[in-house]
This record gives sequence, C-alpha cells and structure tokens, in this order.
Amino acid sequence: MFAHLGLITAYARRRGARDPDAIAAETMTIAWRRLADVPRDDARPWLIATARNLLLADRRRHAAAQELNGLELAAPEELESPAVALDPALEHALAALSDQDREALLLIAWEDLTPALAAASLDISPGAFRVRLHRARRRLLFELEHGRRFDALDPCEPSMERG
Amino acid sequence: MTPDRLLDRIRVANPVPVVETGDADLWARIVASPGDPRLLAGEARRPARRRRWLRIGSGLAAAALVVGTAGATVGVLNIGLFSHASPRTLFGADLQGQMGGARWRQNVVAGSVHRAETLTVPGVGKYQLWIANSIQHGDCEAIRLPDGAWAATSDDKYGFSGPVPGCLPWPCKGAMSNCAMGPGLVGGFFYSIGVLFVPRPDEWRIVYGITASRGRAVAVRDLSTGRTTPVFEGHYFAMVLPIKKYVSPTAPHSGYYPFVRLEALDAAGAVIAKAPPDPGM
Repeated sequence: MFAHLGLITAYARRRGARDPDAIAAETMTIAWRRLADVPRDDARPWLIATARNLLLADRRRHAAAQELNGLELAAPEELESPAVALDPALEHALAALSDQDREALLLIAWEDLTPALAAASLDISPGAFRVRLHRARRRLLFELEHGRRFDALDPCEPSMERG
Repeated sequence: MTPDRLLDRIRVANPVPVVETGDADLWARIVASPGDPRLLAGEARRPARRRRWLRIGSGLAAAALVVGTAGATVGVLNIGLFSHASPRTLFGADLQGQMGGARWRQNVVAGSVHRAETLTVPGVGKYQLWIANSIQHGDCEAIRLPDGAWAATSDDKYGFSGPVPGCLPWPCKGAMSNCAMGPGLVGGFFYSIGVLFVPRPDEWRIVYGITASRGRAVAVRDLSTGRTTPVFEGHYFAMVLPIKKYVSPTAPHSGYYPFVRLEALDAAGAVIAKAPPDPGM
C-alpha cells in the first residue's frame, strides 16, 4: 500500500491539488484506518478513489470559503481539467471533455490502470467504463482534429453507466 | 489518429511522472495512530519454514505483527503490505524492531539506504542486497527478489526462506566487548541465510551479513562449498552457495543438507574469524 505513495502524490498533483503531499498522506492514513477495505491484490483503485474524494472535498471547502468571501463559485462535483501545463492543443481538447470522460482517459493514460481497475476506481462496472472510455477517446480525437467541442452526442449510443 | 495513438499522445504529455518515494516519518506517524480494529484478531501466520530464520526473535516471526506503542496494542501490521515498498519505506517501517519489542526498535538513517550487492543465482535470477544504518548504530538488511518484491514479505515462486527484512541493533559495532544487549557476533559473524527451495534438485542458499574481528577481513569463505567472496564496505559479505543434498543410497529419505561453515580471511589469507557450523535450514 505504501509503495503507492508516489502514485497518489502524482495523481493529486496532476488533478491540480493545492497540496498533493497532504492529499497523499491523508489517503494513506485513511487506508491504514480502513485496512480491511483495501484490496490486497491491487490497492491502486481504492487509493485513487479515496484521493479523488479528498480532492473534491478540498475543492468544495475552498469554494465555500471563496463564497464566504463574496466570490460566487459553484462547488465542484467532479474533478476539473488538469491544472498542470500541457501542450496547448491537448490541454484545450481535454478541457472540452466532460469531467467523467476526462477522468476515464487519464486513469488509463496517466495512472496506467487497466480498464477493470479504472472501473473499480470509479465504482462503475467494467462494461460501463469501456463505454465511457470509448466515448472519451472519440470526443478527444474530434477535439484535437477540429479544435472545437464535440457537442453533438450520438443519440444511438447506449448508456451503461450506473447512477 | 487512431485511438491507441491518441492514448500514447496523452501518455507522453503526462506532466507529473510517478516518483518512487518513501517517507519514513509519514509512515511512522500513520502506524502510530490506531489501525483498522477489524484486523486486530485475524491475520494468518507465515509458513513455518520462513520463521526458522528469524533467529533473533525466538518465535516472534509471524505475518501478523502487533504494533505496540508504549506497551499498548494499537493495530496490526501485515508484512505483505511492504512487499513492494521503497527501500526507505521498508527500513523505515522497522519490521524487525516491531517483532522484537521496544529494545529492538531502530530508526533508519534515510541517507544510508543503498543497494550494496547484486547476487546472481543460476537459472533463477538476480537478488539484491540492500543495506542501511540506523541511528542506534544498528544494521538494516533486506533481500530484493528477482521480481522486485522483498524477500519474506510475500510468497514467491522460488520459495525464498530468508529473514524478514529490517534493522537490528548491534551493540558490538560500537563496542566489540559489549554484545550482551542484542544479537551479537558469534565467532566473528552475524549473518542470515535464505534458502531457495526451488528449482529442484538444485537448491541455493544466499548467505549475507557481517563479519568483524580484531583483524581486517577481506574475504569470507564457506568451507562446505569452498566458495569465497570479498568483504565490502568494511564488514559486509554476501554469497550464493549451492546446496548439494546428501542422500544415502540405502535410505533415500534420510538426506541432509551440508552445514554452512564460514570463516573470514585477512589480506594475508590467514583465518581471523570462524563461525560455528550452521545447518542453515
């Protein structure tokens, strides 16, 4: 479990955490306290899901604090686009994706999870994840090639996502 | 652009590569807090053959480690959690110290953690010896298996039966006459033996540790096999020894393994330390 400290720190940093080390440390602390829940074969999905929840909670707290200071910001329900420097075209294309689609792509590309592990991390079925990943790839490809948002959803695409 | 090339493009653009990191202080703080109470009673013990070589702990070798702080049980630590930990994390966890009680506890000097030797076992792979010092002047040793896991933290296909990795107090290091408090030298040696039970019929031992005597040892020799290895970093040695099991033609099930018989040699080839014969199994 502790072997993944670097992975979780990197995950938090890629997702724009204000204090990635703190997110990673808190993730490991929670894992220690809930060790019976941490999968023994591969802890990464569990740890990433925990880190994601911590990131979201941190952003909600931050947004609430901004609101108290007179700034009206919506509390995020999903992670925002990466707050790190990328090549402009890719950054634009990733930013154009929905939060869910972007997270699906990045779990595979950056966190190096298999689709099954990424699905576990998002608490959705592997089938639903593959649908989401496929959709995300197509949309990102479109964005990269056309430089604009792919708003026209395919009405025939089945939705297998839970919730 | 095909989808796979698309993913490759994202991978290449990864702005934050993963850096293997170990944070002994963080680990110490976390395990000092209460662990999962659901695990307090339910861990399985390691196979007996792995316990044999925890010679320092008199039966304390178990996969479930009760983490005690000031005499209070606060949680259970599964050695398997460290099977792929970074070397600093591994030594920082002080697995040996947690098994041996308060007087065994050691705090690793993070900057001293390094790979000291790589040993090749024919037909099996390369085993790494990692060592470090502790601020209590103890020594930390761990064997990394060919698949990257730490020996004795998880089962591996070659059945390595080495000791649980970690740090041990060694008062003899600072004062040769004071060996009463810890696992002192015996015959000028303090060493561990790990056995690779497969592939059969050829089995192997990895013997590693420390030799110290009044003279300056430059080599260690095993009299049973005739193999010699140089001493490095002042007093460490590590060697791979083949095990030729003796089997009586008239009683094929009564075979036995040769003892490990170590002696240290100085630059002139003189024997300056000699360990008692060790059955090594």
